[in-house]
Amino acid sequence: MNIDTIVQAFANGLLLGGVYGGLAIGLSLILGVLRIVNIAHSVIIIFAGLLYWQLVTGFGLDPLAMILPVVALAYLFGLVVHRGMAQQLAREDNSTVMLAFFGLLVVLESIAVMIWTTDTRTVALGYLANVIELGPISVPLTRVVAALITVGVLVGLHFFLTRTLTGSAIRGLSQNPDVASMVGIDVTRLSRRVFAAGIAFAAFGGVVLAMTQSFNPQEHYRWLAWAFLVVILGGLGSALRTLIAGLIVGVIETMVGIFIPFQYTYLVLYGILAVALLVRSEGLSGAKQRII
Amino acid sequence: MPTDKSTNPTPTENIALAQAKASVVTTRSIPRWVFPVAAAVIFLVLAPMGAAASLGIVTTLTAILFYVIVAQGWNLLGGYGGYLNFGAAIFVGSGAYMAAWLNDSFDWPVWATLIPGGIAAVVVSIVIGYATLRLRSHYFAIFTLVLTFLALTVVKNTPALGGAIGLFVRVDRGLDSRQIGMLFFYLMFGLAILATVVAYLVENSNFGYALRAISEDEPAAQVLGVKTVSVKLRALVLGAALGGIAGSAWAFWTGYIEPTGAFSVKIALDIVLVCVIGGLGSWLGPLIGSFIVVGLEQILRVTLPGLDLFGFELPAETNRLILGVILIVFALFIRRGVIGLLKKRRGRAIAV
Repeated sequence: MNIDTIVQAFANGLLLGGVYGGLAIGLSLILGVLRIVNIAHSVIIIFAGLLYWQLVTGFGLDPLAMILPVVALAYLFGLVVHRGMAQQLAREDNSTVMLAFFGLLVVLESIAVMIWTTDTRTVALGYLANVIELGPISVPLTRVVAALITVGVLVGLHFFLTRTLTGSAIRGLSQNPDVASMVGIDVTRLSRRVFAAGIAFAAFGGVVLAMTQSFNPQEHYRWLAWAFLVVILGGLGSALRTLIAGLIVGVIETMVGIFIPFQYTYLVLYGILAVALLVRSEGLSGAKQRII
Repeated sequence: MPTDKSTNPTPTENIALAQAKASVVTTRSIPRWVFPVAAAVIFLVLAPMGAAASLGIVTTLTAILFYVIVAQGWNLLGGYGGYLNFGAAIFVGSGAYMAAWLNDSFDWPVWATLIPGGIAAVVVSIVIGYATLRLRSHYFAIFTLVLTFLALTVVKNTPALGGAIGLFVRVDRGLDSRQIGMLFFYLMFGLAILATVVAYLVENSNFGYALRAISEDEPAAQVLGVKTVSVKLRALVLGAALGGIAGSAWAFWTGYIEPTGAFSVKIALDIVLVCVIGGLGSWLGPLIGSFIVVGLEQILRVTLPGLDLFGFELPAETNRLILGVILIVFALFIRRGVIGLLKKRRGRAIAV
């Protein structure tokens, strides 16, 4: 093994990690602000990926222009789910909420399989399918584009949450909804928008995933594990920390991939997930105090 | 695994348990003795079915009894304790694979694999419980869902367990299909009675009250002296043992297991549905829920292929889609299941 292999793996890891940050941010936002454990997160990722595949590969539309319609549709879907389901459960205990979202997971997965079958899909990206040579390493253009868009979106979200009035309101909501409503924030409306934004970010994660990897409607649990791992490592609510945690996971995955066969890299990451759970055992309650 | 040596609760625990009991008192609109009698009647009616009913009905009833066993186990932590486990398939699958492996490698018969199957599931549950039960319930729920997929990946890549192809499990060849049907009906029948009795005993014990106290308000239960981690772990292990035993019987019953079937979210969904529809945290709930869910699946399987929607034939996934919608409806509107409709709740006595 030479130094080039390692540099190549590191570069691949960073690009992959950018995508992982995108996969996790929707989960982190909904969990951090609304305290809802969206276990249907990964199925929304896959649903958006399949929709993107349909538009780009199926209908031959432009791969960059199609990101926005998919994300916008997901936002609308998020508004509907919040109105019809999440809002009704706002005062219920966690297990009831999770049961409902498990039902949503099953429903969306069934619809995805009904429409697109269980085949593994790869998006054909036309003009994005080039490879860039940078000295000793070569990287696919799509991965660079996907990682750059994700970094842009996450940094943008970070500044939105820390520098704008709406961002302050969202942070207030995450700290204490009751006090937030006392100071004049329309909690229901803001919650609905944050929830829809979380679903839209999940869909965005699905799009960047579809740009960079093959995916299968029935194997989305893997992406749930990855998103969950990134959220645990990064803590809740901070877009920048989510991005960094995503990069770390990506680099670990590709570095481990140098040494051991492909199918066992998953086991290593699941091991890290177990260790992360044990070490960061303050869990949500500890992370909750950290402001967005 | 932490165990408590003394059987007598300490004074603090007594206070805690008294509080917990006060918080879960229900005023029933139906007398208390009706529920055990109803269960006894269900089992008494079922008892002659294995020999008398047609093979098709015996198969359906065996499936119902299989769900009763697994769901009673699931209900201990999921229903009473409020810690949802979306990976019921892990325990069923571990038991099934243990049984299949023993049968494949050493030619063990079905009755000999029940205990090893249960032990396999218990070992897996201790590993999972130790890693996740110290944390909030969301972690446990997500982790179990994700672990189903991990178990699938591991088994697929293990040649000794048949890899992606799976394992054949052979019952004694001397029996005809009718006798095999009867054998598994009565095996599941016995195990279902066992599981129901276990659930009944747990519901009416201090252990059961401690679990419900955890479900109501875990920090409060802990402050009042309930050893929450130990209680949760015991509930998980007991449930896993039932799942593993049922899984090893299931492996012989189906005759062939493969990773995607054994570690499928389908099993987890069915078990969750059985408990939710029947009634979470009630020993009678899984018994009633199993009949409803399996009956519903049979009806859907028979009627759906005949229907078509705007000229399109409905695909097989419609079945799961409908079950998912039912789960959402129950979570939104009928939280305490069919049993909950029969019992009136007085409301929470304590709010800490």
